[in-house]
Amino acid sequence: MKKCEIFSKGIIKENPVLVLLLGTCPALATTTGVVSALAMGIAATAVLFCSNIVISMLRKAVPDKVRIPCYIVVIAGFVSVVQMLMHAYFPDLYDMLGVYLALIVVNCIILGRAEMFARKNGVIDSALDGLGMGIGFTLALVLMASFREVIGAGTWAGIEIPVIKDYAVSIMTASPGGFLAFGCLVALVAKITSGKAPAKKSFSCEGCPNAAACNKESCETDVKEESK
Amino acid sequence: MKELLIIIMSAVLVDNYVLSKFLGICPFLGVSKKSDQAVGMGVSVIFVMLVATAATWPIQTYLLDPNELGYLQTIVFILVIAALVQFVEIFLKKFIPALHRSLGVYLPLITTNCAVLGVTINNITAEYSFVESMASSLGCGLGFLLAMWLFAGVRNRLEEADAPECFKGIPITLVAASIVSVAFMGFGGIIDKLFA
Amino acid sequence: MKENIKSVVVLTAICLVVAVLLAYTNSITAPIIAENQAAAANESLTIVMPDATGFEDLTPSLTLPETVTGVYKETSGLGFVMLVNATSDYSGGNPMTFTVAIDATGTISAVELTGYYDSKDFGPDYPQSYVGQNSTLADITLVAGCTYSSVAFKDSITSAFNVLIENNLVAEAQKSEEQLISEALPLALSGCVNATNIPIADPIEGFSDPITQAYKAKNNCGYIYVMNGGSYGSVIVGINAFGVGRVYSLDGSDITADCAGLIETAAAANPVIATANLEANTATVAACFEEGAVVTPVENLGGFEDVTAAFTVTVGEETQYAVITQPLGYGDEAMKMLTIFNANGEIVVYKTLTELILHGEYYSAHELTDEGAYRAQFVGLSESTYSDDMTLVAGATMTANAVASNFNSAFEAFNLIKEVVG
Repeated sequence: MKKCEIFSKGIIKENPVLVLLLGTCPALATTTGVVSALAMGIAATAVLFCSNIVISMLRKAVPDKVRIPCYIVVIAGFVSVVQMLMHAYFPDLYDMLGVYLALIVVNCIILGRAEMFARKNGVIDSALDGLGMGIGFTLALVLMASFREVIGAGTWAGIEIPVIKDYAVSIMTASPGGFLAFGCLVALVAKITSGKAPAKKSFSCEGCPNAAACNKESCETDVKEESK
Repeated sequence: MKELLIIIMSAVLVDNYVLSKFLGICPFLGVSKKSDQAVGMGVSVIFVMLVATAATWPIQTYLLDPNELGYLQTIVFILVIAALVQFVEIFLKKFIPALHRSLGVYLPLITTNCAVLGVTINNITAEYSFVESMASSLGCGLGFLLAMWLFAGVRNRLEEADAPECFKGIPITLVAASIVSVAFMGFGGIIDKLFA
Repeated sequence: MKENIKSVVVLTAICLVVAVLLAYTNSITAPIIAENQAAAANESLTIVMPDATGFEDLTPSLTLPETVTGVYKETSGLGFVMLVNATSDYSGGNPMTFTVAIDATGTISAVELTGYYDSKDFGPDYPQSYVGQNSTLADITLVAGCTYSSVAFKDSITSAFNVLIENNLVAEAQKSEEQLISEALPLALSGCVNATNIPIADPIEGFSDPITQAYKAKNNCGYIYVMNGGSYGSVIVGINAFGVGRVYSLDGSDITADCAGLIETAAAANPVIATANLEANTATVAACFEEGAVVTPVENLGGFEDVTAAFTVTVGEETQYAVITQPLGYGDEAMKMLTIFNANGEIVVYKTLTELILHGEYYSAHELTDEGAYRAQFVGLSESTYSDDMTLVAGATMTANAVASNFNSAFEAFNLIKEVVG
């Protein structure tokens, strides 16, 4: 696979949030405003980028049996570093993201990329993959946050938008708005790609930490057969 | 006692982990197709939340805080939870095989369920005592179970619905989740009134 | 086996490396985080004291009243910043919180409201009226329409000052004689004092030495005199509607026992109110009984609440007791009520002689309360079975308070009559 393609696939074609439906928790929780969405995206990208590199470097050293715990330690380590840096240098953003910052640890995208890509590919490829996926994640979050903030609060990144400001639909920034906006955006992406995008099932179940139960329940029957 | 009830009730109804805090969305969307599976998942989550809180709260209070190791919270908690889930699975398999058969499939994915890690961290940031932490975990777990169970019912009906082509599958499920979430918004303020 | 050992070694090694990495990051960020947190904690303090260089937290070393949650000393000696809260009846237990800066001379230099939940807002300007005041709070007025909030606010500021004064952190300011008199005035005749602790009374003319000021209560419950009390300096004398008096010194202590002469002079200065209105009141009471009832006025009744007339009524063998009160209601207007007790102290009649404003105090559309049923609930009660909660009417707090005041005064009067008459 070309380097360029490795990098770009995460941004649109295999966008982790809108196409693969990974990392839904932060996508819903931190998209009440563009600023927090961007902060979340950048934090997750940093963790993804670093953990992909380290896991790729360690790919030959780590025995198969303990690979998941090893990945979790590495990821949690980077998450803690990001937490501390953010707490020190961007305390406002740190407060805004709250517990969701720590929860990057359990973001399916990161463990998923480690399992799916980094442990099978070289350092540079893994770095590009992490960066691309991270940017795709960030873009999706910002897009969704823009949608919610503009309609819900009549502002964009805190900047007031005239006219819309007076007709803000505040439920869009409340929790139901998160589900609604996410549903609509996923539908929109499905409409645009009209089914050409790879379905979640054929792509990432292997890497998804939910795979064990998910295979049996939600990732349709063909995967189940495949995996047997 | 009243304080504990308030913690539990607000975790179940007002600050529902799934519908208002967006924690545990993956299993919420993934395992809510049939109500028996939803309940199985919910019960497993309650169980793991309680065990995880019982383990992480003392670790934070008696190990990390006195030694100023608070920055290790994330890494320690996730490892403890992962190890606990493994341990619980082995234990169930060996001693209560019947229970393992019904809940076993859900256990591995609970490791990375952000609701479990979320509740343990929240208990610390909210500065709850041990008993309050356990109550809060129970409430969050019950809230998760309630949301899963209710939503499984909604999805049952959704199967029959004639959604637009591009909305089929996950998008329409999310829109339905949004409406369930609106219903839960209606609980806002109920705690103040109940215990006023 | 070999593979197992390798697994354990690798996992342990990774854990160790990560732990070292985290410890290193923590050593860099921890001081910055601590600094940020200290700055954030001080931010609310520097708002009220912008020139401050730093703060020393005195909170743990002082015993504080409930209303004061923090005391901080500015390190360069500019003064003190205090975190204060106030709870009023209206805010339903949610305290107002505010930050007060008091400079080294004991003068308030800034007040900042940080949390405010009261539905009846006294507006952002009110707290600013405290700036420049010393511990006497001499120029502070209370806000009509949100009396509870402003009283609570003032009390909290006073308690904040007391903390500093009691711990010798600032000197107590001396109150002027004028302020002392106006503060002591409400003590002497509590029946004419409204919710903001202000006596509702009109100044009257035609007095001579030793009287220096004279007031007649608007609700007819008596007179207040400021008199020259010799060695006590100025004293406050209250004369109730029956001509009975009591005396307070300016420091708030009851000195009635030492001042019989002053009371005599004061009582003689103006006509006894109960006697002046005897005819009309007797007719009112008599109207409640069948013909043949003997209505006798009670004289020299004690008590300094809002009782304006009292009678014993003999109907055949039985004696009943009628008490007329004029409590202050909505808008500090005097209302008039008649309560009649039987010999056991049970209420047999409760009549309102002025209109009860049970609706529309604040909201003209407020649902009309059935006034008859409201009054009827009190009949049959005695002092032990009555409670102030029974008077409550949502949206008509002032009126409800007046009704409660009526019953409390009436029960007190009944007990006193039993003592006097036997």
